[in-house]
Amino acid sequence: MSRGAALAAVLAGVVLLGGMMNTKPDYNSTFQPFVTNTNPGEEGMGRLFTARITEAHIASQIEFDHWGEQLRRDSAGVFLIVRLSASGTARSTRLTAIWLGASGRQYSVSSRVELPSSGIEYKWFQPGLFQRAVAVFELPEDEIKGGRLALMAAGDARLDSAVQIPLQTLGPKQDVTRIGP
Amino acid sequence: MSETVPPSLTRRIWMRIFAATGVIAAVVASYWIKVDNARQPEEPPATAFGQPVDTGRALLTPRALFVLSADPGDPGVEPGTKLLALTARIENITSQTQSVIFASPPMAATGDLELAEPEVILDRDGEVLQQLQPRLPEDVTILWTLPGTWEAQQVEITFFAQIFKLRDNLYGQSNWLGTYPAGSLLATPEISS
Repeated sequence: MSRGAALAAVLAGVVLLGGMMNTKPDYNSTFQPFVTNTNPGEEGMGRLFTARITEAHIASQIEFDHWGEQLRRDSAGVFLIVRLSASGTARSTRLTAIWLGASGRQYSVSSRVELPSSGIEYKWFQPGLFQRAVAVFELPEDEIKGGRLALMAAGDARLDSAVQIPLQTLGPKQDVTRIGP
Repeated sequence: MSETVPPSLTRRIWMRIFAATGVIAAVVASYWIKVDNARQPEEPPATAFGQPVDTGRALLTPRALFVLSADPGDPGVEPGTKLLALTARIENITSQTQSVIFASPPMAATGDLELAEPEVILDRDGEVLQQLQPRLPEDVTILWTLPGTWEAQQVEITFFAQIFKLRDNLYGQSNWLGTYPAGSLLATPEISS
């Protein structure tokens, strides 16, 4: 092989390797959960759970019982209260809920509203038994329309399933919402 | 089989000159880096009230510094305990809820004394700040417990920023890594009655 041909082969290899390095999917894309998009009002099914939104509304303030003490929380934005019904499928499971806002930002369930008896992050969902749960998010109001609820099994979500459910209807805005046990 | 021809004397001299030049360059460069580091110690930039400090996950704007008496009704509080309080506004500048507000909390030093790790209180609730939501700035109070012998004097508060790497060196995943001093606030606290 002549020197020119050898140099061309090396250059072509460098270009190909550079192209591969710059176009290969990154870690986050490679290991992200497999998303199932569900139509509004329908039941979404993940690998370990199935869930449906039953009601959603927004409130300026939230009132709830915290170990016998009645607490009221306000917010710089609003509270989005999503009630849902869910069950495990293959085994007992816990769920993590995230609100994917209209801007693409991700809002976790608010830790300022602790609901040990009804909060989604506290509940175990048994196979075949539908249970009601509530997820409370704190966010700017303009993140709600066009956003959707993402549900996944608690813990490591890499290469697991995630269900995304848009809201079918949003109830009227309330000044204060009381969330009971 | 072909016979191996030893390189000529000129070629061998040139090869050794190149190798020696590389070694000398590496020694000089590492020596100069050490000299430069010693000449310019890493001092965090000075900041002031009303000036935002980028801590990586959030923008923190200090507002006022004062000393107040701890609530004697709080559990574990000894009578006469004084607290150093820094009021600030903090805004999550990432695209997701943050539970780790400070990877390294602000550090307060007064004289030769470094104060213990502070508590960050959400003014809205009067409780410890647990999360910051994107696009929802919050007012907070950062509280350090002062020793009983403390006398009014200048305080230096150092804020730390955390480094975000879109692709880390291990897996190529996005990650929050180490911290570095991002701002230093020098102020004398007001004594609140």
